[in-house]
Amino acid sequence: MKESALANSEPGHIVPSRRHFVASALAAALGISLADVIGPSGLSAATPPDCAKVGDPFVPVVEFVSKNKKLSVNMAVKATEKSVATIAGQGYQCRSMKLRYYEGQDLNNPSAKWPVNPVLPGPGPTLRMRVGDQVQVKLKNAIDPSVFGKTTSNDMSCNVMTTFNPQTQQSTPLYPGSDTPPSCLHGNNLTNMHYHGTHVSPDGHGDNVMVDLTPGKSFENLFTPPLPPPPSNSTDTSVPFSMGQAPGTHWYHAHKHGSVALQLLNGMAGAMIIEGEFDDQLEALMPGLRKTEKVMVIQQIGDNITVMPGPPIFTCAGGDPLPLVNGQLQPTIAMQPGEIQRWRFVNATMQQVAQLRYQFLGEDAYAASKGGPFPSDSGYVPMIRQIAYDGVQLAPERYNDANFGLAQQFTISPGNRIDILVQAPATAGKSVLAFQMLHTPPAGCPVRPSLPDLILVHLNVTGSPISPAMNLPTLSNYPAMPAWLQWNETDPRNNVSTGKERTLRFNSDPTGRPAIDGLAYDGKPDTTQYIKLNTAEEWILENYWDSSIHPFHIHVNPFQVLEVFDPNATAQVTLQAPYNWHDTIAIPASKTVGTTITPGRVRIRSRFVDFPGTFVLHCHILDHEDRGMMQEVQILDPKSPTAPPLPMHH
Amino acid sequence: MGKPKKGGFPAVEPKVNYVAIKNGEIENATIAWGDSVVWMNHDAVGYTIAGSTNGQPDSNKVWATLTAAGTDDANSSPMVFTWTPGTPKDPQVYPYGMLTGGKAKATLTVQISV
Repeated sequence: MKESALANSEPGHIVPSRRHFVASALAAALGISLADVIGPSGLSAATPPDCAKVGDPFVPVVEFVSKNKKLSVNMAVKATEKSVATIAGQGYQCRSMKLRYYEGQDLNNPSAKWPVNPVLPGPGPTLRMRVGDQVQVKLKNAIDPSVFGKTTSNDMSCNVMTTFNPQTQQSTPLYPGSDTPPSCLHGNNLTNMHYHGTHVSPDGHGDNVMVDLTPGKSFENLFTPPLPPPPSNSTDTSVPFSMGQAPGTHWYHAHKHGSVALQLLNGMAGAMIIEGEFDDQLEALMPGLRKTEKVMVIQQIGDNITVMPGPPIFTCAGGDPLPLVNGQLQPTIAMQPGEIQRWRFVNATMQQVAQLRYQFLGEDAYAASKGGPFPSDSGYVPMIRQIAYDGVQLAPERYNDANFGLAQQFTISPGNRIDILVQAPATAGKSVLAFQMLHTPPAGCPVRPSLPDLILVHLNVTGSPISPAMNLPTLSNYPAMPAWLQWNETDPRNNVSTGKERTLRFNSDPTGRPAIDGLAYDGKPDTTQYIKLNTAEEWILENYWDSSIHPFHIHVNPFQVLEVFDPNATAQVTLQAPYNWHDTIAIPASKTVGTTITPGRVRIRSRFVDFPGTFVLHCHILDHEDRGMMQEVQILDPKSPTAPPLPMHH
Repeated sequence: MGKPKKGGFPAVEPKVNYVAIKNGEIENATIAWGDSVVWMNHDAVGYTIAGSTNGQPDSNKVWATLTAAGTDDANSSPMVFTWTPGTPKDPQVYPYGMLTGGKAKATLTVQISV
C-alpha cells in the first residue's frame, strides 16, 4: 500500500510555482511556447502543479485570427490534470482536477497554439474574424476515455453513480434514478461544437449540434457568417427578409446533449469575436480601442456534476466554484488615467449561482462592504457604458438608457455576453469589479459557508494620463443601428400575428426532471417546435420553478426582448422600443404563495429567416438542458417540402 | 487522524478522486465529504472491491466490480461520499480491500472540506 498522489486534493499540499505561472503568462502574451521562456526542464514531470494567483496580471488568451477572409483552425479535445485556483473555507487553494479541454492550432499561423501551459485551466483559444469570413474548424475528439470513470462502448446510456452509506458502509444507487436517455447525464467523452451567437445554417457542416463525435473521430465545421444584407432588403417587402451576422462578442462551446454541463464545467468553451462595421465606428470614435481590448471568458471550473439523492433528483453542477477569468483568479488589469478600454465578457458558466450582478467599487468601499450589498458610495471607480448584449450592439436609445448603457451595474446570466466601455478615472487609484450572486444552489446542494472575496478583476489605474484624451461616445455620435437590426412593425414581413403567440412553459416532467411543457426532451415531435421559414413570431416564456432562473437560449436566430416580468421583484422594468437583441435571456424564477404559482415571464419576438434546418432551444443552466429542458426546432421551407435531415443523435 | 479542520461542510466544490489499482495494490486515499471516488484498474485481472468487516473485505459491502484494464468496466462508476447530518465531523477511516482477484487492503479517509 502506498499513499496516493490524490492527496493533492488536501489543502496546503500544493505549493504553486509563481515563476512557472508568470512564465506561462509571459509566454502567452508573447505567443510563444512556455519552453522558450523557462527552458525544457521547466516542463518536466517533476514540475509542481501550477495555479493562477490572486491579483496576477491579466493574461489574454491567444487569438487565432482570420487571414485572407478565412479562419482555419485545428481543435483537439483532450484531457489532463489541471490546477484550479479557488477560495474556500480556509482561503486560497490550488486544486488538482482531471479536465477535458480544447487544444487549438491556428492554421493561418502554425506557431500560434493554445494553451501554452495545459496545466492551467481555462477557455480554448479566442477566434477572431470579420463578418463574411469563412470559418473552418477541424474538431478532433482526442479524449482517452480510459483516464476517466466507467464508460460504455458508445457512451449513450445514462451515467451511473452510487453513494456511500456511512452507517452501513454499503454502496447504494444514486443516479440515473428515473432519468432516461436521451435526457440524462451521459456521453461524457462524446463531443461536438456549437457556435453560440452565429447566424448560419444549423445543418451539415454549419452550426450543427446534432453531431456525436466519439473518441478518435473528427468533424469539420465550415460556414460563413453572412455579411449585412443590402439596404434594399429592409425596404423591398416583396423579397424575404434577411439577417446578417451581428458583429460582436460570440463564443463556441461543446454541445453534446447529456454532457454539455460537464464539458463546460471542465472549461470547454472559448470566445469568438466577429468584427464588423460597429467595431470600425467605435475605433473611429476612440482610436486605439482595438489594441487595448480585453476579452474575458468567465468560467466556473469543476470536474463533476453533483447529484443530490432523489426523488426528485437535483443536480448542482460542480457545487459553488468561484468564477475565473480566462482561467485566472481575480487578475489585475492596468489602465492609464482617462483611458478607455473595451471589455468583452463571455459568461461561459452553466450554473444558477452564475447569474451575477457586477459593479465597480473602490478598494476601500469594497473592503467596507465586503459580503454585503453594494454600497451607495462606490468610491474610486471608472465610468462604464454598456454597448452590446449577446454580441449585438445596443441602439443609441438604449446606450443612453439608465437601465442599460448608462447603468453602472450589469447582470450576466449563463450564456450571456456583455460589452462595456470602461473609462478610468482621471487620477491614479485602485478599484475592483465586484459581483453579487443572485441565486444560491438548489436546496441541499453544496454552498459556501462564508463569502470569499467576490471579485472578478482588480483594476489598477496608474501612470500618466492618456494622451491624446479619449472621450466616450455621446448620444449624437454613437453608431446608429443598421437597418437589418431594426424592427419595422409596419413591414408585413415582421407581422407576428398578435394573439397567436407561442408559449413555452419551463417546468418539470412527472418525475421531477427539468422539462419544457411537462416533457423532457425525447427527440420526437412532441418535443419539437415546427416553424415556417421567413416568418416572424412572438413567444411567451414562462418559468414555473421558484428555486431557479432558466436562461432561455435558441440557436441560429437572435430575438428581441419585449417584456421581463419578475414576480419576486418589488418593481418591474418597462422595456421600450428599440428593444435589445439577445440570444439568451434569463426567465425569472416563479413566486409560490400557498398553492398559487406566479411564473416568471419573458416575451420575445424573432424572425426565422435565411436558414431552414434543425437546431435546438434550451435552458442554459446546462445540467437542466442535459436532463431534458430542451426542445428541437425545425425551420421548414414551404418551397422545399422535404423535411430537413433527421438528427444524427438523441 | 488529528482534529477535524474547520471549513465548508460538505465540500463547496466536490471533486472526483481517482484511486489507482496497480500490480495488485490499492492506493490509500484521503478525500473530502461530498467528493466521489473512481477506482482505476491498471491490471490484467479483474477485482471486486468491498468494505471491510473485522479487517476482512465483506461480501455484503461491495463497492465496485472492475474488469481487466483496457475493457469497458476497468474503471468504476463514481461513488459519492455524502456526509449524513448528525454524524461526527471527525475524519472517518474506512478500511476496504479486494474481495476477489487479489488480497490487497487499503484505507479511505473521509474528512471535512476546507
